Amino acid sequence: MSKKEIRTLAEWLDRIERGETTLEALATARPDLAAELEALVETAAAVREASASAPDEAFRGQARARLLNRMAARTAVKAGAPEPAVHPTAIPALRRAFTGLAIAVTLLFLGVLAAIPMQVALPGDGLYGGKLALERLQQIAASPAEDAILETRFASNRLTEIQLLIVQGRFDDVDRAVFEYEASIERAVLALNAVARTDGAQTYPILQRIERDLRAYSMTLNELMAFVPGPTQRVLARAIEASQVWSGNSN
Amino acid sequence: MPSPPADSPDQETIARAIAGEAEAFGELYDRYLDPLYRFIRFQVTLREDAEDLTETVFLKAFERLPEFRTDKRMTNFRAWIFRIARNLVIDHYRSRKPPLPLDPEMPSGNPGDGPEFQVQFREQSERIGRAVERLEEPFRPVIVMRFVAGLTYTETASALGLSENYVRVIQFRALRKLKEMLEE
Repeated sequence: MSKKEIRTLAEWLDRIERGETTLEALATARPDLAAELEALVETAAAVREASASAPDEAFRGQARARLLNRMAARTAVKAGAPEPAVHPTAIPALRRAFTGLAIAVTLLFLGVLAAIPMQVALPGDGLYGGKLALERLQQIAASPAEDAILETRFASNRLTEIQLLIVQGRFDDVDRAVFEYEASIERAVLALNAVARTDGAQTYPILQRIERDLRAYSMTLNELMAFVPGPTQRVLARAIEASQVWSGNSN
Repeated sequence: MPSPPADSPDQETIARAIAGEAEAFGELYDRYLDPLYRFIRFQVTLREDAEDLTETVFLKAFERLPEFRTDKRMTNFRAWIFRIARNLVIDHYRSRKPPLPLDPEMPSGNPGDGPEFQVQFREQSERIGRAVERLEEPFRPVIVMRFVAGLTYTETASALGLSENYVRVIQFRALRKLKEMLEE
């Protein structure tokens, strides 16, 4: 390995990455180095090819929405002035009954962009039922292990919603978010039990992860207690208990 | 993969994000999601872990944006955010107990390719993934930063705290080791 080889390999990789030339052309121009360097450039290309992957569209949109929600919540908390309460909109019972298929068909018609306002909807908003149904779509072909992880993530979504509702002073809607939070945790535990029955090797890391997440959620909920009135504290206490009970059961 | 030039709009976008403009951070998310996800996905077994870690990278980046602005050692946002990603992947491995079987959803070639090709592609991808995993420090991170994340020499050096020349040397040696492993 000489300095010349190192420098030339770096230069070849650069030029190929920029699309300026091809490996064949470079190798023809430098036959003295071709044998060694050609194989190394091909190895680099093989690594690139093997690593090709992209996040799925559902994750792309939902993670973006969660991120921006959290930013909005942080910014509002930093500003120190909760926004005035917004009167909750009644959730049409029919909307809550929408199946995942109906949502998928709707999205096909409305386009993927229509999913964005749905993804940032909060309990009490008209689109909230749609948001939950959209989440459920991810579980259509999910294994029990994926289900357990997804449900824990949904619980995290509910936690973000709880924070946003508190920031906006919409305390009446916290109950719905807590209800869904508890339901997600219960479903996560059920899915974990199914994993334990079918694939013991996967149980432990998933269990660890759920426990870790629930502990973190519990801490966040405890911190929120100071910012809510008495009745909402009792609602939050329910969510804290659910987090602690289930993580305790998992030990 | 070409990196944004030194005077890329990142600085302006970052300034807007620090000022609390959520959409500015959304722009950073849109720009870096794919390469970050690819970088993390290559190194973890479960797709769900890759998604969680990718999201955490952005959360941490958001929390630490003011530090990025004042950190004189870090002038390149791409290098900085990949450094966060790398540390999270390391933490993930430290906390992980038993290794999991390979994810059936690992890259499997183009959807239009036949099943036989997809199987071969997947086997080859797994073989390369295992070989990269066997590389020691600092060979592995250099290979992953350069050819999975697509970072330049400058960015790789900055993300790993190495000199650019050293990155070139390590790149050469790592590729040679990798080639030997794949020939075994």
